Amino acid sequence: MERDRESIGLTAESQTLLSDIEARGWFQEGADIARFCLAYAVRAGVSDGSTTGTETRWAAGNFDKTGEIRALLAGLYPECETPVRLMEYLVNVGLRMVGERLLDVAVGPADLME
Amino acid sequence: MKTNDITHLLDTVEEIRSRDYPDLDPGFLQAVVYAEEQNPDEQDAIRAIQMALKEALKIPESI
Amino acid sequence: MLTLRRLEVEGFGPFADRQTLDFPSSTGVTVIYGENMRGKTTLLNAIRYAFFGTALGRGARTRRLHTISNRDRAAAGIYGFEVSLTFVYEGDEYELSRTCEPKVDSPSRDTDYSQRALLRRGNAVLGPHEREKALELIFPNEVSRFFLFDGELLQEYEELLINESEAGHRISEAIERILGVPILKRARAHLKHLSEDADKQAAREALKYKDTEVLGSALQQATDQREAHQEEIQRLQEVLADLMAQRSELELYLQANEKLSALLQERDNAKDRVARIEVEDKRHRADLQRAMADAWRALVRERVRDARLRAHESVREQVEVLETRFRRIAIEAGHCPICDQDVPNDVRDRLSGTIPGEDNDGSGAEDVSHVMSRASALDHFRDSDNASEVRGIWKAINGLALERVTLQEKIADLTAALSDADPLRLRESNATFGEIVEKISVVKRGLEGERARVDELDQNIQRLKRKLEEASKAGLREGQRQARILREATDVLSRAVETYKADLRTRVESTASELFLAMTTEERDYAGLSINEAYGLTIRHQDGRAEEARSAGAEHVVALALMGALQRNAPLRGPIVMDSPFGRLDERHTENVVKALPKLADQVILLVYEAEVGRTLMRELLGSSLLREYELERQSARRTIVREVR
Repeated sequence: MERDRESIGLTAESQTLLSDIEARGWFQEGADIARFCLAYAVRAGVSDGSTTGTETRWAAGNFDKTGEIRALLAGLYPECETPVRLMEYLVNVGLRMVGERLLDVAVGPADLME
Repeated sequence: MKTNDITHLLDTVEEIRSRDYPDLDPGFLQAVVYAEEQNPDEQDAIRAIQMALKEALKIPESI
Repeated sequence: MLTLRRLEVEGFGPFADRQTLDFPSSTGVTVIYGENMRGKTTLLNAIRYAFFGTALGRGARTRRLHTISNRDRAAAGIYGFEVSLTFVYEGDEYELSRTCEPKVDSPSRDTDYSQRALLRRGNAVLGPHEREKALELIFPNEVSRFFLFDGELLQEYEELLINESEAGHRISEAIERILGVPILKRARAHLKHLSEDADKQAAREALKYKDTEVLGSALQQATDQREAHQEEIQRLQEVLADLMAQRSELELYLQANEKLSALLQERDNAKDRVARIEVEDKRHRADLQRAMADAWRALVRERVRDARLRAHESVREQVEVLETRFRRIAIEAGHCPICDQDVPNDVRDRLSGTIPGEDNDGSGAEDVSHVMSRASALDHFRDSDNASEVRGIWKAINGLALERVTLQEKIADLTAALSDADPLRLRESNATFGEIVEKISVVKRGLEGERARVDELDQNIQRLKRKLEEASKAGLREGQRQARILREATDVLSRAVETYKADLRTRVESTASELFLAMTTEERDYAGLSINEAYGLTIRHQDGRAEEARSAGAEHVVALALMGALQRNAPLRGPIVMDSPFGRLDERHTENVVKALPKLADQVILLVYEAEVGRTLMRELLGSSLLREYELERQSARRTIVREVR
């Protein structure tokens, strides 16, 4: 079995996207944005994958304090045996997806949730 | 201000004089009204009144 | 009585060449027709200019002399103008000429002109001092408003109804002036002054004689005290006058700036709202952040729900598979691996009917735990959907942003509009106004107190004087006698002022009512007019009620009625010159007013345009009272001539 990661990191591009979203003031902290984008990717039906070239941002335990995300991914991605790596992947993909939507200035947080 | 018809003014004054101060010389009051009417200047008016007063004082006093 | 005979104008307004209007000497109406901009108001101004050396523009502002020169002539380099007015007063014929001449070749300001005035009485030319005195007697400026009538007078008249206003007060005074009240008031004041001097004189005289020394001393003390208080009254009156002037000035400033004041207030309100928006926005954003921390759950909720359903379905399926396998084993081995019991043959037969023919791939046990753990994981997920909360907060934030933008635009517009204003001064002025009103109140109370004190002293003085008269054995000495005459005369004049005013008001009310009823179209509903102390008139219904709501037309008619009443009851009489007085009146009222014109004054000069009253109708309505008609005929845009019609 592949060994799972212990932390979640962001690519340079994702870092920039995160900063942009932070600047809007919709979220209290970066981790909230990351979780949101992860969920966004999940809702979009993104399949399992991996991200490379990331720089660590959050420890897995801090990112998913209640264990719900792990449980969520276990439920939705049953074949995956490396949930933290999956989390990292979904966060980075999600950031890209949300970033693209936000290119439209009219889009607000409520629109992202539609 | 020169006025055309101060009869009404004079009548009003005379009515009150005869009612309240019958011993007061009517001529003096008439002179006062004319003095005001003909002399818009304050000092001129006062001088005219003083002259009228002198005339009124010449009239012997009625007991 | 003042009667106009002839008016000549040259270079004045649209009247380039010398134009002459002759007014008949008999009682009646002269009508001058003219379209707008032909010079009707200019003729009114020409009369004003002749008497006072000034002309009025809109809003009763003095016009610049330079703007009065005829523009056609000005284009040809000819500047300046002349007005001559011939009139009769108290049997004497006068000719008044006023000329305005340029001092330089191309004048552009009033200071580039010099003015000359000439007044001839009969054949004699009056010197400057005599001339000014005579004009002040014949036609004082402050009463001119009752003779030279235009739309502005109406507005002023409305001030009369507001007793406390400065303008209303001025008009009341002007009315009293025209009615001759000042004569009595001044007589009273002068007599009082002389009377007080006489009191002092009497006191001094009394001191010389033994039998009256004590009384004389008391009298002198009392008169000295009275003088001191009167000086204080004088001082307070000056303070009051100054305060009133300040108040007037502020009133004017605030009125003129009322609009700006309102804008300022609006801007302040907008700024306050913007500040509150900032606070609300902050609060909403904090709420948003809180909500967004949880929003990821809402995003995955549906997927989780679907997956959860599928997982539970799978669990059920896999349990079924497992069940089947165990049954098969029980059937084949004749022994149940779960309860470790042998299975009887009849049960084996029964069980055989419940399972399908073939075994599946045997992955059941593993699958079940797998799917059960998946289902369990999905159950562990806390369901939450705050999408509508986020929408609500975001909508509120957007709403506030829009409001903020709108307000900021508004603030920018208002700031531009206020650029001429001095908001600080406006605010200060408002505060100062309040202070001044308060101070005026204080000074007035002070004056009341001082006057009361003076009255007390007066009474004391009169008492002392009477005692003095009694004490004087050798008949009244001249000083005392003088004092008595003056005291009594002062008293008579005081009462005369009040009696005369009351009497006048009654007369004016009666005449005004008569004129009003002749001019109104509601003579059945209305009983007449009632006058108040300030000469304000209210319309009375037959049932005694006052007419509260008055239209502009009604104001018009009431003002005309007052004018006519003043004319008829005033010692001062003169011509009424009216410029387009029918503006706000309907047809019937207009007809009634025209018919009533001869009643308003002996000489009426009416400036109208034909749309107000046509010539045929005018002739019909006035009949033999119509003495002469003129027309202001257009020669060009900048040139008018006067033509006699009849």
